[in-house]
Amino acid sequence: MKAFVGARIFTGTEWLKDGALIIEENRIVKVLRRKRLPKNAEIINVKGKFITPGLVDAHSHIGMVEEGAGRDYADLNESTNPTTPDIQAIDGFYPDDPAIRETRASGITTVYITPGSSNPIAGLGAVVKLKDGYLKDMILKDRAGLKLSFGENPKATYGVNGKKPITRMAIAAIIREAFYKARVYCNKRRGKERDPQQEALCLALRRKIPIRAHAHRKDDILTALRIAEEFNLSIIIEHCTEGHLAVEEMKGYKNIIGCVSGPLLYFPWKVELKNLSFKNPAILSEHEFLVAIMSDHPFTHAKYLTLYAAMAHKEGMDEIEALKAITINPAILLGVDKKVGSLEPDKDADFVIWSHHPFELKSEAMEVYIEGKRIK
Amino acid sequence: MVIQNARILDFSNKKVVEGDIEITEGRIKRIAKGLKGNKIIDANGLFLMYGMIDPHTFLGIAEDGVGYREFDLNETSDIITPQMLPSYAIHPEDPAIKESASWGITTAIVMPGFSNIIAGAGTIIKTHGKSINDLFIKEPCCIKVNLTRTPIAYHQKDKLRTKMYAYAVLRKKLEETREYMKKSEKKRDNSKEDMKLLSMVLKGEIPLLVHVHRRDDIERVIALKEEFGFSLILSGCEEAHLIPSLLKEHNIPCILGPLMRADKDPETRNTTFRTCKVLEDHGVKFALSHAQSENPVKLLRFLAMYAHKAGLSKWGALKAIAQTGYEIFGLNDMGNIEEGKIANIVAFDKDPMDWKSKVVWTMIEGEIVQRGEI
Amino acid sequence: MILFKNAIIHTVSSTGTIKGDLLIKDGKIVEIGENVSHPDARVIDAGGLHIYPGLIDIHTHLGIYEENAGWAGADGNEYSEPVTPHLRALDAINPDDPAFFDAYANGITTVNIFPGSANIIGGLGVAVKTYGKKLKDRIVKEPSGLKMAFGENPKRVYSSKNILPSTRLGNAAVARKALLEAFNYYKKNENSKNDPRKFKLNLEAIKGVFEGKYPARIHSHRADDIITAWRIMNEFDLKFAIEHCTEGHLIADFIGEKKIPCALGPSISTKIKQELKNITFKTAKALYDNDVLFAFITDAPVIPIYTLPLEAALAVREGLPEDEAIKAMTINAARILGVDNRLGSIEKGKDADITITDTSILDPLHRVIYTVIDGEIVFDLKKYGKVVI
Repeated sequence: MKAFVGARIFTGTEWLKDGALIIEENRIVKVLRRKRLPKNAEIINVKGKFITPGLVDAHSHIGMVEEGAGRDYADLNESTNPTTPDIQAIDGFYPDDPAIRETRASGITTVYITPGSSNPIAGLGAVVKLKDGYLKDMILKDRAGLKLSFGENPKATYGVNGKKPITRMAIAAIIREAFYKARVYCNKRRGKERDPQQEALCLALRRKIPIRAHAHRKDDILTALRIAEEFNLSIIIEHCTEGHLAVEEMKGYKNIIGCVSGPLLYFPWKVELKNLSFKNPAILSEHEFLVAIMSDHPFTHAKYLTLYAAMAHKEGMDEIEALKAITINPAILLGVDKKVGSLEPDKDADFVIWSHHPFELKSEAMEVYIEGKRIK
Repeated sequence: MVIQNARILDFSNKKVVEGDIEITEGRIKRIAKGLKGNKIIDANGLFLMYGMIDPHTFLGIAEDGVGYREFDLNETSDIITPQMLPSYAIHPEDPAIKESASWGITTAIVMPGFSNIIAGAGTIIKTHGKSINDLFIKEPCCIKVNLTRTPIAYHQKDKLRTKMYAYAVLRKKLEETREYMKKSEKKRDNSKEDMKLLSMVLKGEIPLLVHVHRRDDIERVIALKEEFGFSLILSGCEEAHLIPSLLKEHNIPCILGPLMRADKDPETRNTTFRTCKVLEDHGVKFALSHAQSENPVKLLRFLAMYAHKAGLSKWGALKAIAQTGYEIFGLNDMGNIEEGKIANIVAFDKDPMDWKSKVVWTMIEGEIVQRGEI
Repeated sequence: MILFKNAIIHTVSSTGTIKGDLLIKDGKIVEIGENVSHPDARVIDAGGLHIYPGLIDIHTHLGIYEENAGWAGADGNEYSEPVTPHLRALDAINPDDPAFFDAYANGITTVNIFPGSANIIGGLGVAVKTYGKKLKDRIVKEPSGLKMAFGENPKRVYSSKNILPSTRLGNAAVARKALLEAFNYYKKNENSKNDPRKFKLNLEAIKGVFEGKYPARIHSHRADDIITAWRIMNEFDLKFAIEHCTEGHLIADFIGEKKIPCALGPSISTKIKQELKNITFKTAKALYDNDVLFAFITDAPVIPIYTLPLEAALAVREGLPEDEAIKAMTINAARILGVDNRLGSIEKGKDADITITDTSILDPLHRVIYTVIDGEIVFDLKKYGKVVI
């Protein structure tokens, strides 16, 4: 048993000025308010430092676009066919991508990896821990979400070459047709044909996994919500770039679990990014949507996740809410909040010891632990 | 027939034994001293080793000297082509076949190339004969799958752009096969050769040979094996030395190669001959192969020398080219000069690991088919 | 200052192979012999070890077809047009290409780097040491030669674009036209002052061959392509060497008679093109029997650079004398490159580029214990801990 004493601790929901984090092996025992420490604990003095849970990045392609390897080593977009529900991000994930080492050294310990947004029905994502060892041991939750893509990207992939979808209408049609077909399959299937593509769609239809809907513009956000309502799918809006302009309308939809905002440190080089703003997560949060902040690595590098949250705070997001957006909120959205996202009893001992408040530019992740094992 | 005065390389006991070999009807009948027979071959102190096997070649289908336009190697019209059978494409007159025999390679496995996800079947041949009927030993001996970036390079225009999709396509095909197998015999469409061949894989009758470079791909393929229950042989395996315990735990044999390569891309950046020693130390079964690279099959013995140079034991190196390959493909009556095995024997004028040694004659099934390196 | 003691020194010179000591100072070889000593020298016991001149591979694409880099590192063939004489391999070399380490860890201390063989005239080569802190300091000769090519490669590349050349007819026509243009340019400028308005970079590059500054180095496999090269070069009375020379054994007497130097190899190759139909390990012996000056090449990274001594070993198995094989990786290569005043043998005053092995370098099982370049130990097996293959 180890006790990290003397730091300011962010538990995932609040700050403790002078707390103690107790861990045993790979689990968190508890966080204490006062220094009444267990007798047999090894005391580690971290006075003056800051402790947070290991950070969670809710939307990333890390490992799929290898840093420095170039265009031939990008496993991001299967742009040969707009409907690929059964392809899995984990099958394109390279655990030895140098970016992974850099990112976990910056305190990010859990990541949701997903296929890219060229395809209206893009495929399955997974939650991984950025730890050493075999690939299978890194997977925290396999088949954790089904990505759908709305807006310009599918049109820019297929439409510009004269293939379907050329319009937003066709994107929606492709998705709806697929779900209608899948519904039939799901209802019939008891010992019948096993089709991996239909299986993937069924997972969503049966609400076993949420839809992760890539949508920037208001119209695309609403289309995604409309479709989710039609098929009673649980849905998370990815990017949600114009979400801050659509909050009232969004509230009218019951199926939405939350939003993952970002990448925010970005340039509006597409029309649908015109209203990109760092105020987005603050406004969504004020309207009581569960908000996480993403890196969308490699589009902005995953290792700067704290910077993105810090800037959201600077632009109006409550400090605690901004910290939650990269810890407990994404853990809830990813369905892994029983294991990660906050420093609560029995959760994985994933935590970071910072030199300063993680939102301070000069702050450095001095020590990073995953499941009690120090990886930095 | 008796071969007298030979120095016999015995893989089982890792020794060189002096003696005579009696051969009857193409098989080794007896090994002892002082044997006599009707026909005598005086080996005169020559070193005799079992005929070598290169388990991953394009002999006969990417023929020497005809140019790549004539190759029958890659059926690039589709990404899934399990029903490609090399026996219908092997040209027995390919000079490389005779040449390989003359350098001591008596057996080879011919497979389609690297362009497709499911490339087709493997065919075991002996390196001597006028027609495919003479060469033929077994087909299919495996189904070859490629899970590297090579199929993407071939098909990225319109059929395949990511490895995620390659895995999805493979998985879907295996599921389709499972469904096909569930049907009763009457209802099964027996003109579906692809389904029949993949059924043999799922039933465990023939292995799936998967060509991969990276260790995470090796892990994925092993997980697929656990899921679908097929027998697995890994090919390529340039990063096998990073996860040898996993290979040992699941008892996965490897066909290592091509190791003598320089055009390394990020997927093969960790290619090294040192992999052999790591696998040997961990008790993982492996054979060496040129693996359809630009190195000719005839130089198989030099691959063993380089592997030995990089730490593999000397007998380990010889077994990797003349025994383990047979074991991996279930050719149990081949792979060592011992009683009962098929008489594929190669005579060297010196220790085969001596670079100056030369093949004096090559015997296949009791008949000397080549005398001296071409 | 380093003193290697008690080694078997293959000097590749009139001194022959001797048992003794080798003293290196300020990047040069200063003393070879028995009982050499010097108070300031770091003494290394090389008892039982073999010292060879650092090996030289005069035809590679190291640094311009980079290891591990894929498309981004492929800068060897400018196949946008067939005549690009002014392109310099020097301008594409990545000095940090991991292949350079593979080279010196295996005893190759100098490599000549050429553009590829897609073009009839591909550009200018450069010879560099495989190790050095700055690329500029590594250069041994620049330009080292004008790379040209006949045979299947140019016609295959350009026939797919429907551009001349699409046949061997075209290959020769394109070559002769370029040389004629250069010849006229050379004649006009020969005696006049350098007029910048008349300066043509591409023709200047070919002019260097007319001026005798460097030879043309012509890729040809088939015997008829070798003869084509000779006929065209002979028309203009130009110095050249033949690269690969795959069918050289079929016309060895001709090559010997005309005294054409050859960069021979790689013989470790499948017969993947028709023009490789007659590739054999026997070519070196045939060239040797006809007094041809030749050196072995790997064309790395087509095959790994560390197979250079294997190329030699395979030739020895077919009858080439061992010491000739060593020459063909050292002094012969230096002579063809025109740098034999400083490289290629262990003699006083030459660059201290050597490699030290535990057994004959022709034995594939040999291990490189040390490699020294410009007097500095750049590879030490004990320190590195493993062989680099």
